[in-house]
Amino acid sequence: MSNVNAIDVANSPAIWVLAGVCVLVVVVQTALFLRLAYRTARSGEVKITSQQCSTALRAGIVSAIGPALGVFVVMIGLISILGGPMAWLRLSVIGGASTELAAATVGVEAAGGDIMSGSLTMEQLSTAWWTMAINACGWLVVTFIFASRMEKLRNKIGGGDSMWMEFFSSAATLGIFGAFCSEYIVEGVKGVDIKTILACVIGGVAMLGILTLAKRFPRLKEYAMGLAMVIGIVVATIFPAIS
Amino acid sequence: MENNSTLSFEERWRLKSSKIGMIMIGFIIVLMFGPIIYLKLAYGVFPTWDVALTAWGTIAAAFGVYYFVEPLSYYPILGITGTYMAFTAGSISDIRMPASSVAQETTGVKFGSPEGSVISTIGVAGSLITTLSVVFITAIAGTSIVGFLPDSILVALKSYTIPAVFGATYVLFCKFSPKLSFIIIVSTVLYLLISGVNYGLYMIVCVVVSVIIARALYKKGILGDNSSGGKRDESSEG
Repeated sequence: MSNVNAIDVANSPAIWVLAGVCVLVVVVQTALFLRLAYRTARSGEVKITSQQCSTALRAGIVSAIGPALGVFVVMIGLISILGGPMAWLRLSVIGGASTELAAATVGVEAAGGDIMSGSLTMEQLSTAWWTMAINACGWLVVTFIFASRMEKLRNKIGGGDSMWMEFFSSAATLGIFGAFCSEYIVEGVKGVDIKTILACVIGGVAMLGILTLAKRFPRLKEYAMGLAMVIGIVVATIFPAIS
Repeated sequence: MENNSTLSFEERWRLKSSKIGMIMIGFIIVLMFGPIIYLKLAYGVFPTWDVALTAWGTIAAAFGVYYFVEPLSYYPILGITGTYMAFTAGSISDIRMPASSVAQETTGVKFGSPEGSVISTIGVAGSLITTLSVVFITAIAGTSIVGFLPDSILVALKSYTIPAVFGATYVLFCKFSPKLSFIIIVSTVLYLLISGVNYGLYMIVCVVVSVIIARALYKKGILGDNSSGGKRDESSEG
């Protein structure tokens, strides 16, 4: 065992195949839900045109491009430590890049290693993989057990009042993103990190501007997320140059 | 409306979706351990159980709260199909939620309505097409691509992508009810400033408090009136 190079095993064809099978299930699930949505739209049960379906699909694809590039950056780091196939699997299934990095670190350390050392033993590799998988299971098991029950609960909370339902959904979302944004704002107020609060606020302001412009150019809405993000990043990056 | 003759739309949608979701998630949970089992079978390598359990305990202590908080908090927008997809694919706050909301916003359907559920499903599926492609390409060719990009771009992407997306998403929801959005951002900032507590329960508290505020205002009729007006003058994070 000692003469086996862990990173070579991690990049071996067998691991590629095993990771691929799992990712394939994610692909199949996506296809099945997409089919369900399109069928429901066509059946006339809901008032949605096929035009709206393609708009929604395009909006989803485009809005994910920006953040996916962020995933790309972190993934590079994971590949060098854990090998290509495992990085692929981990970022396709519950792929919070920073979460995975944390889990890998915990695993390697539990097995008495150091993730920054650059070379792992087989046992450290196995422990890192195990920790990432068992951690992802947490979310999957909760979703498996509760998703269907939550839908029941949601229908009950809505109680057939569609206007309240809309407020309920937005309020919950505003609560989450309010919590996220507050962190940056509080850090900014305390003077810890000005550039991050700038990225956050400019992202918001840019979105406001784009939505206003979109009244005249409706197609703009689909690209709103990506554009707002780019504007936020660019302003935050060049900020010291203009101050 | 037509409740008695057959099941309501909500109920049929729930049953169909949970059938797909539960089968697929079941498969994923098992298959995820494939590579680890392979290491054991082919090379005889697996951590001793005390190491494995220590690692599990440590990581669960760090993320255990999120296992429950996240599915519950994101549910109202993602709906059942979005939840299944988001929690198998991850990147929920920075990719799935914005995708779901942009899709619903662009097509002009009501959040939380049956139309909203269907459109959100398509939006989230669309975002998965992007993520799965990018992640796949990166796995194959990532290390060679990264050589072409200057460091400054990599650093900028890494540090500012998420805050920019969060700010933009917040504003996307603001236009629905500027008043409510303003109240919520002020209260979350104040709460964080005063409590100083970061994360974990903080998130779910913000969600619950926001819903309670919304309910109170809605009952008093303060919210219902301006929802159709679509005024969005009060900017949020000013």
